[in-house]
This record gives sequence, C-alpha cells and structure tokens, in this order.
Amino acid sequence: MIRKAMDGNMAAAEGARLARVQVVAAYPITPQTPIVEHLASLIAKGRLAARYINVESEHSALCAVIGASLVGARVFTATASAGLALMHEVTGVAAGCRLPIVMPIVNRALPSPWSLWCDHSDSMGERDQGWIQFYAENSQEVLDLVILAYRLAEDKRILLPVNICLDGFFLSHTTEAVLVPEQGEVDAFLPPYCGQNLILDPQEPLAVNVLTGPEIFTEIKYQQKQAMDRVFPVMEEIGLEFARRFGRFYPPFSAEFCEDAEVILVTMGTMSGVARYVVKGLREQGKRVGLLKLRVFRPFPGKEISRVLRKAKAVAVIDRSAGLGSLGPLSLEIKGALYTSGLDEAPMVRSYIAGLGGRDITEETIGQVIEDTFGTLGNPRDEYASKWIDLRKEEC
Amino acid sequence: MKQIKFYGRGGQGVVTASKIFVSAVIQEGKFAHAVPSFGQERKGAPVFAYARLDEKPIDLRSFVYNPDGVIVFDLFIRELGIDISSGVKPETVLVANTKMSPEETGLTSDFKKIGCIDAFAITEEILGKAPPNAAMLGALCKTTEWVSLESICNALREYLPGKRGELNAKAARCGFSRVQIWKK
Repeated sequence: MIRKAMDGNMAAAEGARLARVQVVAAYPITPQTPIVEHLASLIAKGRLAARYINVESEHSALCAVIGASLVGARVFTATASAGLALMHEVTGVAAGCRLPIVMPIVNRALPSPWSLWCDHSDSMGERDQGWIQFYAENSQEVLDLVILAYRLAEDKRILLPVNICLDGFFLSHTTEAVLVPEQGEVDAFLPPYCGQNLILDPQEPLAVNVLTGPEIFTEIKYQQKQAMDRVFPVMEEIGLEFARRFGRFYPPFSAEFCEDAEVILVTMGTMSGVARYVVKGLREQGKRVGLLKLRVFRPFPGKEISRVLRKAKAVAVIDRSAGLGSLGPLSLEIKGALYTSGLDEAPMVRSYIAGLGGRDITEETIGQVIEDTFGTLGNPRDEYASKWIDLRKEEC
Repeated sequence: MKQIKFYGRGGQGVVTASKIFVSAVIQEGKFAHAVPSFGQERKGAPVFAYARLDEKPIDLRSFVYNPDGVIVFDLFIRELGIDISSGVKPETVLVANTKMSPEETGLTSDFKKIGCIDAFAITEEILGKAPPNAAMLGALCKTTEWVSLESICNALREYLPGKRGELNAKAARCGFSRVQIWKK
C-alpha cells in the first residue's frame, strides 16, 4: 500500500484500474472528465488491459457498457449532471438487466440555470432507477468504494449496478492523501468477473430487455426489489472482508456522538467533514449534538437509521438538492424511516436545503442549522416545510 | 491546522501550485488537502485555491475564509478590487510575487510576516516562458516554514518528470534563497 496525493477523480480512476476494468466508454463532462481522461491514458499506454470505446453522447456511453457487460466484461463509465440526465432512459435498462456496472457520478447541479458546480440534483434524479447509490466523503472512500462496488455488484445475490456519488470540485478536484492498495491485494479481494446471469453468446442467441406484459412485469421488478433487500447483509459480509484486508470498514452510515445527542445532524458527501468539525467543536463546549453521515442512499437503511435517531429530540437533515415541490429528498426518507419505527413520539425532523449549485457549505452554515434546530426544542412546531438555510434573502 | 488561501490569475499555475504544495506536505507523512475554486476559466481572470495542513486527518473541506497564510501570485489583482487582507488574523503570513520590498507593499499593518519575491524574474531566468509557481513555492517554503524545500523539490520533480522537473526545482530553490522577509 502506498500513500499518494490525488484528487477524487483520480481516486475513482485508480479504483477502476485496480479493479482491472475491461471496457470503458464515456463522454467527457465537467467535473467528471479527468476520470475518463486518466483511464484513456492508461489504456493508450498499455498500463490497463481494457478497451476504450469513444462515443458521441452519454446515452451511447451507457449503452456501450451495457452491451459490453452483457457479453461478460467488467465495465466502467462515469458522468455528471446533464450527461446523467441524458443517460436516464438507459439507467433503468442497466438495472433491469441486472448488470454489475459501476458508474461514478461527479455531482453537479442540473440546469437551469446552467451550473458547473456541485449539488446532488443529478444523482437524486436516478434514485428510484434500481441502482445502488453510495455517497463518498473523501478520495480514500472513492477509491475503496469503486473496488467494493464491483465485488458487491457482481455478487450473485445482488447483480445490481452501482453509482458512487462524489461532490463536484469539493471532492473531484480536491487533492489529498490516499492509501493506494497493491494490485495483488485487490486481485485477492476482487476475482475476475464471471458473468452467468444474462450473457449474450452468438452460439446461443438470446434477446434481452424484450417487451414484457403485465402478467410477468411485476415479478421481474420484484426480483430487483429482492436484490435491493439483500444489499445490506451482503455488503456487511463483503465490507468485513475488505476491512480485514485493507483496514478500512464502510458501513451504510456512520453515527458519531449520537448516543446521548439531543440534536442529530444527517448529512451526505463532503459536507459531512465540515459537519464533523463543527460537531466536535460543539461537543467540547458540552453541547449534545451528534452526526449521522449517510454513505448508502440506495437502498436506504431506514430501519437501522431509525434506531440511532429515535433517541434524539430533533433531527436536522441537510439536503444538497432543492426537492422542488416537496421537502429535501433525504429528509423525506428520514421522516419515512421514523414514522414506521413504532415510536409513540418520534423526534422532530427538520428539512434544511443548502449548498446548491456549488455554494460552499461552511462551518457557519452547519452552525446555523444546529442552532436553528436547538432553538425549536422547547417550542416544537408541526412544520411541513424546508428551510433554505444559506439563502441570500436580499436577492429574492 | 494551518489554512492557506492562494490568489492569482488564470494561467499562473495557482491551482497546480496548491496541489504541489499539499503533495510535498503529504510526502512528509502529514495531512493536507488543496481545494480549488473553479470559475469560468479564462486566462488572466482571478483564480483562488485553498489548502490546509495538519498533523492529523482534516475534517473541514470548505473554502478557507480565515487564512493563516496568504499566497499572492500577482499583487496586481488588488487593482481588480480583490482584498487580499480579507479574513486575515493577527498571525497571518503573506507571500507575494512582486518587485516591491515588504515595506513598499503597504500591507505591513495587515500581516505578521511578509515574504516578497520577484517570481516572474526568477522564472524568466531559469524556465523562460512559464508560470511563476515553482519560484512562489520556494518563497512560501522559506517564509512560512510549514514544509521543507526538499519536499517541495521532490513534489515538483514528481509532477514534472525529467529536465522540466529539475529546472522547476531550481526555480523553487532560487525563490527560497531570494525571498525578502519582513517580520513584525
């Protein structure tokens, strides 16, 4: 294992290299481009034995890796924002065909207005398409999760595609120290892919993704649901093996300082680091605040999360997407999880929107969320609304 | 933890310098990260980058608003209305690319320590037409004492293999030895 400086994009590409991906097809889009540039360069120099397929759009990129996956190759693509939106038609095909595709999404706001910068509106648009969705906090997680994702996706009990969501610029372009495992260590953890489920073979012709009538559609969908239901137990098994080999464990979420917390903050992605910094500082002042950092958004670990959150008086959820016409999408998941937890009195769940279109989620933003939530403790309001905490009201 | 804000203009290698700086710190076994702030890139437009270093893992990942170190690749950006003293603390250190002496910058009341370096001249002399970032890194190294010159030179050679790396390391050493330091 060597310790190297790299950014989130490079970590994603290095993860793919170490996973020995065999086919890469991608279309460049900011802030994802460096991932596929790096892979294209490795393939061109003969340092990665893979085929790089040039395509004219993201729709074609995903179609190309779907085709390659259907003949049994380990495949990789990556995208962001409008590129992901263009893929939307086929993201469901990848999941429905039960293909173990790994695709980082470098989070960037969907237009309009046009933006290059980070929020989660792009990956949120894919949340019900049947993909497993990880959200990473740092480059180490990105590299490790790419390797873990292949092992999970290719497990016969799962066979689902995986997104690794990484915040545009705040993670994709932030250089930091990453422990890069040796190829041999990764090979021992991740054996070559041997597709057995739905494999195209000219000797035994087969049609896939064909018109499916109402008499069987539900049952095929249900099999996807069953696979989703198996993700957490399988992920724990694989995650423990990963931890034994590499010394890092990735549960679906991490709860810090939550045991006796009156207020628990729920975050995803890079804002979690800022939140941890603020929470640690407030803990030193004796403030009973905790942090629940969510790593797996799909499937949603609602049952396990509700066990942690139920002890708090209030839960403050920060969504980095607008959730137009409703509350922040993560806050809805949390509310749903607590509503079904069988509690007489569930903690109040506050929905905060912050960090849209690249707005920095600062210590002050996190501090305001916590202060605002503590402020409601003595005076609980039955509020079905989201609070845009970093809004510049003078501009509205 | 030390927090740094880099100021410069598109094409001066500000983002690259921040990355090389953190690579050097990481080589020393410490923790560091560089967070760039991208705009609609164009040559000459103001560019910012941020970096943090610490002995232990760093949780923060937002931009830097109260820097311990301010690195300015072109003092001229002040004429674009950018206040390089924004958010500084009493102990903040400044490293500036300028022909002026620290006293001539008019910034001695805002900073505890100022290192002035003519990075354009050093770069022209050693590298010809190239960004001034290697010379700036040398000056940063001497003024702040947050990373060793050797680590900076190693990181430069890693980023720019071959003769280019050697020349950039030479520019860094030159920046290190020529920087004029003023202390409060």
